Formats: sequence, structure tokens, C-alpha cells
Amino acid sequence: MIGSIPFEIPAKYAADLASGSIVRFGGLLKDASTGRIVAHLQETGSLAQRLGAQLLNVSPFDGVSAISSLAGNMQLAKIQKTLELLQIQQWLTLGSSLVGIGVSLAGFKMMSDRFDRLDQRLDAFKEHIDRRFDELVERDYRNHLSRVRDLLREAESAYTYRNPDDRFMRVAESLESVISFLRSEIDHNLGKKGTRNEETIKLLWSLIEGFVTGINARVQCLAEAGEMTAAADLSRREAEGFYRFFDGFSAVDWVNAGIDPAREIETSWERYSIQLNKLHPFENSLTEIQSQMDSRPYLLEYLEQEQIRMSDLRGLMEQETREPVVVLPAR
Amino acid sequence: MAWFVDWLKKLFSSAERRQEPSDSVRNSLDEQGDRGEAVLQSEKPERPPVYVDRVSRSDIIAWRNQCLSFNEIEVRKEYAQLVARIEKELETCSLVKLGDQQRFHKEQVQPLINESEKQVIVRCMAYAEDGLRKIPGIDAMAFDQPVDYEATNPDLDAQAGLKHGAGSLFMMGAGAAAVPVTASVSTVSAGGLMGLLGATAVSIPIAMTGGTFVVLMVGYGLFRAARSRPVLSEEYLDKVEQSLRKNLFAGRKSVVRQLNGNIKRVSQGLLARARG
Repeated sequence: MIGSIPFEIPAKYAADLASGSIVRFGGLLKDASTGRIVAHLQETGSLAQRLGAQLLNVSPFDGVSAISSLAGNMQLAKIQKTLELLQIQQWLTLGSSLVGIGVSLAGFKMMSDRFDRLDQRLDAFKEHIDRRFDELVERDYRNHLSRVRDLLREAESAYTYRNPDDRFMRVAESLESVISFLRSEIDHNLGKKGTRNEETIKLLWSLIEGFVTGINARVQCLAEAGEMTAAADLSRREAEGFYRFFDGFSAVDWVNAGIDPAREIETSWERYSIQLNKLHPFENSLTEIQSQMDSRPYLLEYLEQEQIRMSDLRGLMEQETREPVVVLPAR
Repeated sequence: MAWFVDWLKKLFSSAERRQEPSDSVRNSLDEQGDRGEAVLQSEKPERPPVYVDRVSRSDIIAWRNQCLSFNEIEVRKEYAQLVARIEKELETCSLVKLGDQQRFHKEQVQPLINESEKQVIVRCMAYAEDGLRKIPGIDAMAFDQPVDYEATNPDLDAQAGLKHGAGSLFMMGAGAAAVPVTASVSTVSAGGLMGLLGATAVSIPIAMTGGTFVVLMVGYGLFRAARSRPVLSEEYLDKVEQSLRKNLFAGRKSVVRQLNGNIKRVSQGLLARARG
């Protein structure tokens, strides 16, 4: 029990998770045989502090050794153990501010840091895919990323106000146009014909990072302003939009679509496997993002039902320093 | 025919199940009634949903993606093994046999290709079915909501698959040589997943047609023929490899396209129903 909210620790569910009678779906645990929501997962300040900043630069395309060395950090041992218990293997490549278990505590500061990194990565894309990525597009990208960053800083500063709700609502509204831009860019890049190299998929991943972070920030702003129903509704709509984009995505289709028609199709299963293996972490990350987005409305609705305010929840979670993730049992 | 009768029984029994709530659903409803909780928001909007689907969308997508990758890799492995086997046949066959490529192909190579393609299809379908069974809650979905197999597989030789049953290899007559199908492998899910993977027919495209073969002319001369052997072998192997690539993974109706098409159709049907 933490404060007045009856949180539990994940270890309590270890046996049921191991036997498969309870399964994790995004940020919730459910009974495998009935589908009943057993509990909601919630990240704590401990996770955000220890994991978040270190994962800002980790992407699904980083080598296994880079991620293993990160996971080998003694400070992260407890986090790793808990996340493995919850079968969140993909977590290490996603970064805490990107997905967020439950309602993100990574904070707007970390979200804006992520946009800084995205901005830096544009230089690399420019070098590799300069024909597609002309100056006009680049300037447009930078303008939008910069706009998101400003909005997130505004949201971060809202905490210092006595009545921050109006500010959160203003940021939530302003984020919509930037999210729309990123959405249309993802759509465009997904449908683009021609050779698909590593750089084009990294660009796509960056757009997705920006898109998801923007959505998370918008949902977070609404929740912070006490608009839980609107936050849950928005979260659900965005999750459905995400299905539309990525339900059909598979590494196989991406590899096959990227095959140069002028060249022979790849006949070697070893070489074909190498191409697929490069994309599998991306494929898995997309599935995990979908699950997280899909499960979040259930938590928001639960918090509203239980009349738990975001500020109270955040306060309690920030105080928790031992457990990286806690469990909020559904009643 | 026994399996077909069995399938019909299951289909009707699942239709009956849809009319009355299944035990698990009934228990769920009782439990909700006891606790005053609601499944659908529209019923009692003041309460948040406490149930999500037993089958997770993420599990279905992961299953689909694993199958697509497995199929692509597996047919390429099969291709490599098949080419090696055909090369061995070429090395050991007599010059006389090689001289009549059409006959050599029909008698020595085509049976190898048929068997090999059949085996890879069966392996891929078994992998798909095994993976599907492991998805939590999928068995109940299979019985409660069977996929309309024929409606979801319009471009496949479904009738041939249904007609010839599980694991059968149906060889069409010589007159069908012009049709790009010589055989159809049909694997039928045994047990509870009948409604999901159903009877999946994958047609095996014809490997090569008669016009592509070289037949040594009478009087060509044994000595010249012997000298031509490496050239003949290479030409023949090139043609077979080209044809195999098209049939296995490069062509529009290749084995892997058909297998992956089936997997995508089934996953689309499941995703349309699963939430949570």
C-alpha cells in the first residue's frame, strides 16, 4: 500500500504470470481465460529517473551488445528483473518517455529532450538520403519538432503555476496540429515506393517517436488538467489511428517492397534472414507501442472511476524509490 | 470424408454456441452481475470496462509476423536443398536420360519438386497452427466465431482442398498442363482451430512446361552429345532454378505468396474482432 492508493508490487503476480494464467497486455494485466482486467501497471519515479535518460539514445536498431551493456548496469538490475517478470523485453529499446507504462511519469522535460535528439538525428538522415530529404522537407521537420519542444517546455513550466489547468489545456490543443503533421508524414513514408534502406526506416522510426511522444504529451496534458474522460477518449482514438497505420506492417512486406525490381529477388535464406533481423526489433517495438496505447484508456477510465487525481498519483509515484513499476489492482 | 463431416458438426455446434452464451461468457456475466460491473460502456457508462478480449491484438500481430518470416525463410531453405538434390540427380543420370530432358524432368525431377513443395507447405502450415494454438484465448474464439473460409479465400483452390482432404496431394491430369496448377496441398486444422485456419489449400504451381526442354535429336552423335553434357546440364539447371524461384517465392502465385496471403487473411479476420 502506497499512501491511500492500494498499490501492490509486481512480484505478487510472478507465479500467475509465469504460469500464463495472467498475461500482460500493454499497461495492464488480464486473466488469460476470461479477459478480466486484473490490474493496471504504473511506472514510478524510480524507473523514470534511472532508465529514462539513459534510453533517450537507444533505438530498436542498436545492436544487442549496446542494449546488453546498458542492461548490465548494476543500477538497472532491479529494473531489468521487474520488466522481465512482466515480459516487457522490448522496453529496453523503447525508452520510458516513448511509451510509458500507464500514465507516463517521465515528464515533459524528458519528452522535450527526446525532441532535441530527433532534431540532431535529422543531420544524419540528410547525409544518407539527401535526394529524398530536400531542404524544404528538412526545414518543415525542424520547424515542427521545434514547435513540439516549445510546447512541452510550456507544459513543464505549468507545474509551477497555482492553477495550471488552462496551460495544460492550451498545450494539448496546440499539440494537435503538430501530431497531424507527423501523422501525415508517417503515412507518406509508409506508402513510399522504391528502395528502403536502413536510413529510410530510421527516419520512419524518428517520425513515429515524435508522433507517439506528441500523443503521450497531449493525453498527459488532458489528464493533468483533470479531463480524464477526454484523455481516455483521445487515447482510444489515437490507438485506433495507430492500428490503421501499423496493423498491416510486417518486416517481410517491408523487405519485399524494398527489393529493387531491376535486381533478382534474394534467394539465399541466410541473406534474407539478415535483412529481416534488422527489422524485427522495429516490428516488435511497433506491436508493443500499439499495446501500450491500446491499454492506456482503461487505466484513465479506472482513475476517473476511482476519483484518483493525476497530481495525487504522480506525487505518490514520484516518492516510490524502490519499485520501478507498481501494480494497481482492479476492483 | 470423415473429417468433412466432423468439420460440419463443429460448425453447427459453434453456431449453437453463438445463440447461447458459452460457459466462460456465462460465468463472466454472472460474475459481473454479482459485482455490479459492466462489460460495455454503453450499458453502464458510469463504470469503466473491466473485461477486455481474451485474445490480444498484439499476440495476433506477433503470430502473423512470425509466420510471414518463417514462411519466407523456410521456402528459401527448401529451394537451396532442392537445387542441391537436382544437381545430384544431374550428376548421376546417364547421358541418354539427360538427352531427353522432358522425360528426365518428368520422371526424375518433377516428383522431387512436388514432394519438396508439399513438405514445405505442410511445415509452414503446421508452424502457423502451432503458433495460433499458443495464443491465450484463441481456442474459444475459434469455436465462437469461425472465419468464413470460402469468403476469405476467394482466389485459392478451396474446393480442391476441401474435396481432397487433409494432407492429400491432388495430381491433376495431363490435360491440365496449361493451367498453372498441377497439385494442391490442403492442410486442415485438427481440433478447435478449424474455424480459424480452416482447410487451407495451397496450389503448387507447375514447375516447367514442355516447350522449355531440350531433346537431343536422333543422329546428333554420341561423342558430340557427351561433350555437350556440361552445357546441357547447366542450361537445364538454370531453367529449373528460374522456375523454382518463381514458383516458390518470386512469382505472383508463388507458394510463399499463397501461404502469406492465408496468414494475412486469417490475422485480419482475428484483428477485426480482438481488442485488448
